[in-house]
Amino acid sequence: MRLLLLEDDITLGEALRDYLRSEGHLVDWCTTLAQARAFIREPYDAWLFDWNLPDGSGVDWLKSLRVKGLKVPALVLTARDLLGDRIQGLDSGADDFMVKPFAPEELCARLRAIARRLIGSAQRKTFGPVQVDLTAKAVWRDGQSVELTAREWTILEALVLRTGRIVSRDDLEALVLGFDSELASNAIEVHIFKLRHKLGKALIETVRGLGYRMPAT
Amino acid sequence: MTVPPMPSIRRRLAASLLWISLLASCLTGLMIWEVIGHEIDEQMDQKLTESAEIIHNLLATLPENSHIIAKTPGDEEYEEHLIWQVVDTASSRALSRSHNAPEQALQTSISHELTDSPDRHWRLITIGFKKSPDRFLLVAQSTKERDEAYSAAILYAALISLLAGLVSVVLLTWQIRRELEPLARLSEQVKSYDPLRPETLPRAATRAELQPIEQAIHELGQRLAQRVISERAFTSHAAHALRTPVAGIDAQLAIALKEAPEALRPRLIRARQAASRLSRVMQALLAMFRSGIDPQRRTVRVAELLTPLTFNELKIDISDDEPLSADPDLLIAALLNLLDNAQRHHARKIKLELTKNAGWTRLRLHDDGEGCPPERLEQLRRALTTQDYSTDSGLKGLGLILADLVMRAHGGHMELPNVAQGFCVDLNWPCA
Repeated sequence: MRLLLLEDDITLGEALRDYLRSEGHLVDWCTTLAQARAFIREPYDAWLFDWNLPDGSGVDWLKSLRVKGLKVPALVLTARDLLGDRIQGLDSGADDFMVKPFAPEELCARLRAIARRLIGSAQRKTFGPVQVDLTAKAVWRDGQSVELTAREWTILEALVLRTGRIVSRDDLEALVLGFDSELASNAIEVHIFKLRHKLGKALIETVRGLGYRMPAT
Repeated sequence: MTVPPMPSIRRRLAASLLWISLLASCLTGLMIWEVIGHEIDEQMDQKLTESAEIIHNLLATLPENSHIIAKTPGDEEYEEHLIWQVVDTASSRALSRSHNAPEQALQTSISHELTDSPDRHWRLITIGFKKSPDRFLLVAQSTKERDEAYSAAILYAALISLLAGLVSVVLLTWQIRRELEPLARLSEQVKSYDPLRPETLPRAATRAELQPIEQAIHELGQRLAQRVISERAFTSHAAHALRTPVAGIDAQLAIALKEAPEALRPRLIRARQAASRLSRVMQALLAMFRSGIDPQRRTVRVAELLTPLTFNELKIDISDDEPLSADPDLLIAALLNLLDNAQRHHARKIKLELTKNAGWTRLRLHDDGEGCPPERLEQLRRALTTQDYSTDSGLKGLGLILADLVMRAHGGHMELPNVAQGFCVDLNWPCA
């Protein structure tokens, strides 16, 4: 999943970024609202917002984003533990609420739950002969397990999470790399080619001039 | 723990007034004896003197040698309180007398003052005859009549005084009850007084005596509100200042565990366990600060509360997982620390049993750990009963203290029952 992490505490932010990356997520980490505003239109799968930030309230900002119609799942990470805080956070548009301190393992479990909500409740998503399990990060073709590289998996996951919708090449680049990396100009095409080779040509459609799409099952 | 009944102001005042009334009636009797008794003596003496003068004038008209023994017409049993004798000074005999007067002269010589007979049964007055100097009239009045007059005067005065006292007791008791009503209203208002909500400040003082109490409550409320505001501010800031770094430490250790070579993993695992314990202690301390605040009750299930918690080697067995009413944050903090206690005392399994009876919820936690010697258990019970949370009391960890505070915040209490094996804690609190 591509995630926007908004956390001003360096120790926590850095550790969460690294942990989430080690779990296969792409994480863009900001420490202020000003930084985050520049990237909020990126195609994230989930936002992870701290409540109190040096230049404002993450929850108030989330509320304004919901008013603007942005529907990316949001998880609020906060030191506030009162019932009223949780209610306020959820009413502001958060999909989930985690009180610090929390184990990063639990954060990953919550993200998996968000992913399941995005693709439906089934543990395995089936696309013809291909089955994808986002929780186990595993894929099968005709019942046989298929090995994917980290980037191939990231592209497949991004398309599965947006099943039936067109994902532009630029969005895929952003999803694969995050905003602080560089990528060869034809890298996406190369990874799509390899995915089709491993999982079948029909799995990923090319929508000319617009991008790629995983057909709805 | 039952509080012995306090003496009632109304009853104490009524009892005092009753004793004062009894004393007043006795004093009134004594006063009548002393003051009115003297007046009665004067009145009776005057009556005796006037009666003697009338009898003297009547007898003076009789011939000198006449002998009369007067009779009462029709009633032989008539009790005379006034008798007379005409006494012959030479023979000391009564020449004439009223029918109940003794034959012997009560007095043999004339005296110029009123006197009492030797047996003190009669009050005497003597008047001489001008025509017969050897005779004199003696008129006697029974002292019994005087005593009856005294007794009647004293009795009626004392009864009236007592009656007035009793009526005063009833009236004053009624008045006291009325006067204490503003105090009762003030008590009711203090019950619902929230120092953080100035609009709930008691304003019932309709008596000058209650104004200082109301003022004192107001000042106490202000001090309390200031403390609560300070504590809330501290808790809020402490929560932010502590929770985020602790989360950072845990997350750093989690990623370090992933990246570390195999040889370093045991150390990092221990470090993460220590960080996890630090996190629990910190949350317990924050919860302890909050336990003084009114619990925010919700309907929850124990299993739901414990789901996100991980206790590596402790098997938690929950029976009768009914919904219960409690502040989930406070209850989870109490349970978390009690389970942590059990784990540190080498429990492998803990049973949580929920029962509801007579409007009370009881959550029993019974582990199979090393338990507690009877004398230490007794020491812990004493410390919890008296809320002695000092380190000298035997309470070493936060677990029992926090659970006790959480129960007290819910209007309940904690007990440590005797069990054959392991350690057992009963959390008891009202269902609603």
